Amino acid sequence: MASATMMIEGTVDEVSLGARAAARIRLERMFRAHHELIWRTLRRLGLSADLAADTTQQAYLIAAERLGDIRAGSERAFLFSTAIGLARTNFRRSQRCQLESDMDVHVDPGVRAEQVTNRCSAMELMDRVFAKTDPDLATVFVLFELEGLSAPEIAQLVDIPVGTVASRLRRARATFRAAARRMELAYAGQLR
Amino acid sequence: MKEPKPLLREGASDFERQLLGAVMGERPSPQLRSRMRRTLGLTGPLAWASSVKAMLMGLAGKSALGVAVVGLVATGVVGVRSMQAERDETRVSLAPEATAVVIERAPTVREPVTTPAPQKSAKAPEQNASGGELREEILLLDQVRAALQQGSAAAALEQLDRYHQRFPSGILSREAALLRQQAAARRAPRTAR
Repeated sequence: MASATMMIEGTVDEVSLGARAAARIRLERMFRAHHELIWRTLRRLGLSADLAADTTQQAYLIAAERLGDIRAGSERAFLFSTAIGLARTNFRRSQRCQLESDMDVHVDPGVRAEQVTNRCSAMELMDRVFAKTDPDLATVFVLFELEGLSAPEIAQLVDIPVGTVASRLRRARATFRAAARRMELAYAGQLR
Repeated sequence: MKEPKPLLREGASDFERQLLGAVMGERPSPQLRSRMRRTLGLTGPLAWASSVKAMLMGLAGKSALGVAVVGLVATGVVGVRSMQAERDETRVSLAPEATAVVIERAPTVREPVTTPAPQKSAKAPEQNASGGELREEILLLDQVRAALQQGSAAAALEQLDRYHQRFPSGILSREAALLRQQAAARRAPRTAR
């Protein structure tokens, strides 16, 4: 009798385990599919590697809590908007890599512009560019230029109209190109 | 409206190309990735499979392990395929406070990242599973599994009591219940003698 009861309980628990295993598999798939995009976007928004990882992780913990509420196919949008929401409320600006105010014109003497990336400073330069960019513009820029998402995909992800994506992209490009130009000229000036 | 092409494909100067190209490949380091996975309880397929195998050993006994593994895998596959249906009917969810409304977008989050609990709630702390609490749940259950692997069912049960005291309705309470069965099953033969 006792063993029969145990077997019934075991069956019920196995069903529960199946549901939980399915949830864990879904979370695993979500992690594999989207964590790099989210982490990278947070990095470009000025978070350090550690803080970007913490924020990404926090977004996934929230997703794990609400897994049953996330419609299939909406996982990326949920994770992305959660992570961006967390980053926005974070002390992002104060946590940016300690950048000098005139970094976009402060260069290492003797470094040629074409050598910048070879000296592993391109990431830092990009941080400098985005440190002075509106986060809304930077988000659209990162998703379009670096992650290869289309305007409609970005519109869905960020929850804005496609027209707004286009206008933000134009402004973000202008900001990026102006900053890049200043940096390039600054490096060129070092050579004179 | 014609969609613009990414700068890297069209119109970028060499310098801009270098800047963009350099950050495109950036990824979290293996250490950061591993840290995130640990915190989320995603310890990798092999580790997870061995954990499930350990649970099944207690439930079904070694002789029935093969059948049980097949059963569990089938349950998992069916679970994944029927998630949409489950969502409509039984609302499979890890979160006890999950609402019945299907949402597509995340709620607005106001708390800073450093705050453990991402959403303010008047619910009991154990129901408001923050990263730290989930981590603690995982750690406690890892200790239970370690005790079972060392053959100490009594120690495992003690750890489970601690777990239930700390998290009466924790996210991993079902796994804890399975581990308790396993520990009880291992202790039973000795008491029967």
